[in-house]
Amino acid sequence: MLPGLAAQTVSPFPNPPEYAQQYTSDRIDNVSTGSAPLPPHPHTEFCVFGEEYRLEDDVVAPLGNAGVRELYANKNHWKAEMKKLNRSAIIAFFDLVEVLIRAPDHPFREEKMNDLHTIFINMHHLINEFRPVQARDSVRILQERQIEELDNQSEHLHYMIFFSRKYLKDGREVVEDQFGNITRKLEKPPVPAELSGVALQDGLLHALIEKKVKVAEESEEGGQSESLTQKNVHIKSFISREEGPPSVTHLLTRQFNDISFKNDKSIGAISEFS
Amino acid sequence: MADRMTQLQDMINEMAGLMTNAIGVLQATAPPCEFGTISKELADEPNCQIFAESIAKAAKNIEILIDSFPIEAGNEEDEVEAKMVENDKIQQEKVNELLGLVGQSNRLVGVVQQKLSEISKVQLNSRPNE
Repeated sequence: MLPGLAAQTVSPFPNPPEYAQQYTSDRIDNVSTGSAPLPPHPHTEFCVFGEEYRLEDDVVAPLGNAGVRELYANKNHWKAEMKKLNRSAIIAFFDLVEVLIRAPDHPFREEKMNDLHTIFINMHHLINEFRPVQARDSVRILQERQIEELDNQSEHLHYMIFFSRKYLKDGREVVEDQFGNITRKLEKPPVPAELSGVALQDGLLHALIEKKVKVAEESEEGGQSESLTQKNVHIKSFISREEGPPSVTHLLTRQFNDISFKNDKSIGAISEFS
Repeated sequence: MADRMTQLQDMINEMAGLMTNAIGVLQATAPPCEFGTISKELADEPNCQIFAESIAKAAKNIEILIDSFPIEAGNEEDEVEAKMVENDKIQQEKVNELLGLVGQSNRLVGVVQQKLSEISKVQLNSRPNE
């Protein structure tokens, strides 16, 4: 058993703030009555993980706050000022060494050490001043890269859409060509020899084509559904007749018939290609 | 390697470290000397030369790095902010355009899938059964 379940008052997490009690579901749902109070103003000074945050202050605190003398003249000429500070640091070091050689006890020593100290603090301060500028620039460059990426992606998609449409069109043309090849009047197949006893018969496809042509003619006249069923009956009897020698086309069309007349949709499937 | 600002900070710290170490080490490891004259042993101290060279090199490197920064005098806050706002607007437009294209391509994919399934149905149906 978890010990937390026994005592309700002891909880590892802090309680919600007192003003949260005012936000009941009723008060929130009836927004028009306005009885739910406005949210409290956000704090601008707070302590997070032991560090103090003051949002109203400048991003980089000026040096005067730390009690350090400002050595650089103009904050905007960053490069020149940094180089001057660099040179000054070397010179100050040189002076310090000279003092140590000649008179280590002289107060000049302390002075030179403080100078060196100040110079280095100033150098770091200039770098800190520059950080927000760097951050803003990085955001801008990030945006520009995103825009470029978006451009590339849109162009790529454009190509893909264009080519897939082209392929679909090409495929449709091929299918229509092929169907045209089939439905066009082909030359008669070679007549089989008398000896084999095989006779040529008109197959289902031929019947369908004739039906389509006749349906087109008759729909102009207007008696559509009757002629369709008539045609279907005619085709069925035509195919399932038993007399006469069997022919290859006869057998094939009978097989086709077993599928197609059970499920009239496949007739529709062929006509979809037209 | 970190960005140039951090590199510069590290180099400055390194130079300060070299300076303090130079004085400290030379003072701690110095052989006894007489007043007025410089003994031969003192003049032959190798660390002296090494430290001097390192400090000079560090200072030179810092200067080169400072020169390599892409900073113009007075990077105006307002300009950069205006640029960012404009970029945001452009990005929004591009996103909408891309969304439209994606919708189109989704529809095309649907059409292609439909055609494929029709073709496969007809192919199945046109096979002779047993």
